Amino acid sequence: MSPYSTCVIVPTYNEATVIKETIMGLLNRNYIIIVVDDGSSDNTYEILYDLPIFYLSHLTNLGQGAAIKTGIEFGLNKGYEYFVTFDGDGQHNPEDIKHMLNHMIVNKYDIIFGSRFLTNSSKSVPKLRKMLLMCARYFNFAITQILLSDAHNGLRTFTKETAKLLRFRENKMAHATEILFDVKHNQLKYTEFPMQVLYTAYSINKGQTEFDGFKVLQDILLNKIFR
Amino acid sequence: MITSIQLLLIICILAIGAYFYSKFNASRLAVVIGVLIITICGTLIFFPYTTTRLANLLGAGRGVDMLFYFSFLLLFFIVIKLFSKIRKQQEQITEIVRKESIKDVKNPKGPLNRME
Repeated sequence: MSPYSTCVIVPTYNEATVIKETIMGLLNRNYIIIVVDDGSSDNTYEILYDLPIFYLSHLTNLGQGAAIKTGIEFGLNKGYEYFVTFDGDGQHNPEDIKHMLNHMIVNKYDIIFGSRFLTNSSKSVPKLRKMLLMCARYFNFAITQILLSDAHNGLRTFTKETAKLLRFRENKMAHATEILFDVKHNQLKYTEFPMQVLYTAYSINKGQTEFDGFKVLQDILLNKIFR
Repeated sequence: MITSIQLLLIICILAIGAYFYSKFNASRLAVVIGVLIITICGTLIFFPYTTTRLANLLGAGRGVDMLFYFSFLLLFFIVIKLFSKIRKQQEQITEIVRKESIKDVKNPKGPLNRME
């Protein structure tokens, strides 16, 4: 597998302080990088403009789900074989991508979800966050019959065929649950893979608040009501 | 004898009417519909018992109760309709923003340069 057949989609929103570091980590491993700037008002573009990456920018802030979908559509147009979604806030370790992709290709999985709870790194997950993720996990199971150990993880790898089947419509964080609907609906072969999540003061501050869990819940319910 | 609630309601109805008149294009049809609605509201406010006969037929007891049930249903329907419309519009905006961002990709040759 050539790294050039793999595109890494990095959704970002006002992450100027850490985005370059995140992107450099990926560039060093020779992946094709698609940064989707979801309407940032900071100087993200000035920081990234001279790097060999694709840079797409939304005119307005739509949400992480919308940014990922834009990246997928672009990657499909370009004809890449493998797709990775990777958070822009520096929480993920680029080294994990290689292992996840290998595991996916060798075992012919359609999609692999990263899980922070399959490694020791889960010890660093803040307590309240852990509880919330636990609730989300069973909520997802209740409505999709798919029980993941980590309900909302931004690191995923999937094939081109899977990318074509992902029809999630939620612009915000509820897309993570919607992807599970797609997996179930298309009977995709999936698994989880241990990965590291680095909780820095920055990422905790920047990431979802505990209250956002309720918004996700509301979005999913609305999504189910309005087809 | 006008009670204070009747006075209050009729002031509110007239105020809403005036607001719509200022917002909407004052076509003859809009004025006719507005006057019709105000007349109906006025009748219901000043002669509340006119609805009670209909309410009795439906088994709703008082006319005011029946009006309450129906207006609740109507408002609920309007909220759902608006929600669905907003979501649809949001999807359309997303689609436009997405198309635009893909069309305007910055640094379109970046990774290709590196491969060569």
